[in-house]
Amino acid sequence: MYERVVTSPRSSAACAAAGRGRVRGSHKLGHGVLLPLIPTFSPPRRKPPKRGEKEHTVLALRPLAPMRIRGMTQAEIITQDLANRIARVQARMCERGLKSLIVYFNGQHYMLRFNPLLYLSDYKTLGPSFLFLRHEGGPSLLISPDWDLARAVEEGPCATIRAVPQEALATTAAEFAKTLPRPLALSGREHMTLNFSRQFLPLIDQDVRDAGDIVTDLVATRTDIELARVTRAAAIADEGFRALRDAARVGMREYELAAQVEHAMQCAGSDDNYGLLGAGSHNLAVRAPTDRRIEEGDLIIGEITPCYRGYFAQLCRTLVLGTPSALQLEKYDLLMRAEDAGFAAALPGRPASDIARAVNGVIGAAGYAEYCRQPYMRTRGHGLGFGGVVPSDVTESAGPALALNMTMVIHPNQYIPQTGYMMLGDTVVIEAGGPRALTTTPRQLFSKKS
Amino acid sequence: MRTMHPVLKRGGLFWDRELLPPACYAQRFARIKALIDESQDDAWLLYGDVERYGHVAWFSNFLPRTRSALALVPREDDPAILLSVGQRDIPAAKTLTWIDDVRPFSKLGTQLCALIKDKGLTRACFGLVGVEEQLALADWTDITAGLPDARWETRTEAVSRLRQSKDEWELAALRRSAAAVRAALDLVADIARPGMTTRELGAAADRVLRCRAAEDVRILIAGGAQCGASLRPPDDQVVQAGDTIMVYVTGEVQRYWAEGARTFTLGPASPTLLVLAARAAEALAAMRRAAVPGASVSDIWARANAALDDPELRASANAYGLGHGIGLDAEEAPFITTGSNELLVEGATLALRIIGHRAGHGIALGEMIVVRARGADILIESSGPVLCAR
Repeated sequence: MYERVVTSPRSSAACAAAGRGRVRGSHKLGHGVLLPLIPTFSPPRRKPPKRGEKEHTVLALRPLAPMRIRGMTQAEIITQDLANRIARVQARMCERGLKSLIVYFNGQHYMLRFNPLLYLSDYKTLGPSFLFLRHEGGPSLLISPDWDLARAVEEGPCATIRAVPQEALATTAAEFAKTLPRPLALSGREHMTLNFSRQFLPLIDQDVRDAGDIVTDLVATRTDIELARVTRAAAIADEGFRALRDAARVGMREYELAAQVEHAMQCAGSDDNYGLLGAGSHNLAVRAPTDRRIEEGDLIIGEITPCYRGYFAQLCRTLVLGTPSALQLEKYDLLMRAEDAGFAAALPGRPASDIARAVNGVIGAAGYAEYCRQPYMRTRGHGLGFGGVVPSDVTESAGPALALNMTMVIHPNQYIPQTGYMMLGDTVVIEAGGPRALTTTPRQLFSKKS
Repeated sequence: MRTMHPVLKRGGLFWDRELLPPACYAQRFARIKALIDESQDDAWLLYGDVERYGHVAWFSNFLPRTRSALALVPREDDPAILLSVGQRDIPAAKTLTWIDDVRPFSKLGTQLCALIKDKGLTRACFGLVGVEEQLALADWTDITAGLPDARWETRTEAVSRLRQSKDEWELAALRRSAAAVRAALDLVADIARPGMTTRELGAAADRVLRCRAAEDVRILIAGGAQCGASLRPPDDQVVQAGDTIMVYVTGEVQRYWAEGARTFTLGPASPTLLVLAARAAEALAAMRRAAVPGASVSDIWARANAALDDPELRASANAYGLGHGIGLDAEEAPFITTGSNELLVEGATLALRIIGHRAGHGIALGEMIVVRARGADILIESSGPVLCAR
């Protein structure tokens, strides 16, 4: 077995070899990320293109000041934030009488699925991995593939990190589990493949409890560092839409336009994107980009969802390539009024369903009630930030109450028979006085002369 | 090779019917039917998720952009496919497959049981293709609970064997993907310069692939001192004059993957790097020379390891893996590893690579070939270390 173990403090040769310290801008510092607090977002600077370089210009968000709290260093703030998250889970373990928790994540990242391993380690896995947490003390990571150890050591401030080839993951995890104090619970069993479960589950105690909900129940609201990450993702989403407006032109294929949006956001620090983009004179819904060439008069609809250090934000907007008609402007105004109504209902303590009722109320009153239901519409938003956490889907039957520091997207995207599908949506954080939009792109029907 | 899994395949999504015409799928349907007949099963279930979708895409052309898809192929009836999309997405999804019966699911177990009841197959014997390897335990629990009288047989290997040798349609698709990956690697040589971050380099390479209709792009990179440790997703590491940059690119166009790896230098390569590069190139050449129909993959593995001739380099190269089949899955059979008894077949496509580290240095060389009796056809050539233009 090819196996390596590294124990913190992370002053190991692997860290040094990884070239830490020679990083640009505000993204990275010490053993984590230098997270900017982003009270305001400035448009990115463009580097002057050099001859023959037009296709490969690089955009970068302006470096922002680091977060400073109570005289702590950036690294200390990040470490403290992570320690607080771990402590919350350990408190919940104590409530349930658990001495140890095994967290499994299969490496398949999904926007609407919470990733407990990332939440408890700040390390985004390449492959299937485990995290072991006792009722006190720091977590231990067991990751695959083994060659990703250096990055795990840089990014995840865990006490112990062990890396093994994927083939050895089940047996090594089972051996580690035997050393944990009982009672013991397992989170992530449902995401194991059939074959992996056949390998792993027989090797651990049969009295291991299920604890799929033990972390997810705690993550409805964002900590300071988490909110800073969502805010950064929101700034990147704004940058993505700016790139869309810049790049869109008649004759371009939809996937080429999506590539420009993607490029701008990656340069700005995005490490993933749940991005949908379509164009047409009468869109039925948002969809993946195709090879269709964009035409004069098209409505380009974009759902842009970049990810920064595992945290997502979403922006939905519509761009008319040409001059928008009076009808399009009128119907987009309806969407803006619906979003206003949704925002007004998004108060702490109120059920998320109130947002859906408020949005549907405005659109229904305009004569489009039947288009507020399936198959035209599904939801008026959802929890967003770190996976599709509470309040989950925002529908008229949604149950959860909103709470301070929840992050979510509110999007009154709507199919309207006269105009087709149009999009409008923003990521917000719920505050005492109502939602505060983290995305700052103006709310309007954008247009661009073709 | 493991890469960072994205939350969505967000590139161009369409079916290029000139590249992969319906006739190609009619032929595949006939071959699957023949296998089902041979097995005497009543139906087969072909499952694929966003990470490994080869079996279901080979049969249906459908690509799950997120979550999964499952095709039901009865021996005596028309096929149907279940997709993890909403009802309103079905018209768009239908443009991606030749199958008429396309149904959405939110809970796979519930919907599959309903479909099987519709088809009158509740007491049938099902062949499972990709199910045990990829399906989540929770879904399988739902399926078996909903179909207590069904019987299940593992059939993955039969389809994997069928898929190893690529036909001319597939090779045309693979050439297109390979051209996109080559273009991305070429671009790195053109634009890399001191002061850039690996994130900027990765983003530029990513855009080249996406502008060539890539559905998915994965990039791993190491710059400067990172080359002594490991490849990783692009980050804020700044490259400087004299640095080495290791780049691994894999991309998927019209469902078919290609991969390549190169090493770049921002200045003359150091003597140590040149020694590493020579060993890696020799190991790669040894694998290519040995890759003929009938060759054992464990023999290919042994030849590469002998050529590497350095314990540290050999250990890290084997940790990344020396190669495998490539096609509708980024990694598919056969895997170049020790202890395997698999033999290469004519027309198989392989991704071969030597990525390794030694004494604070790193080397990444990779190529993609078609196995031929006359000697390999090269789809992506290896080269390096490449001195960047600026």
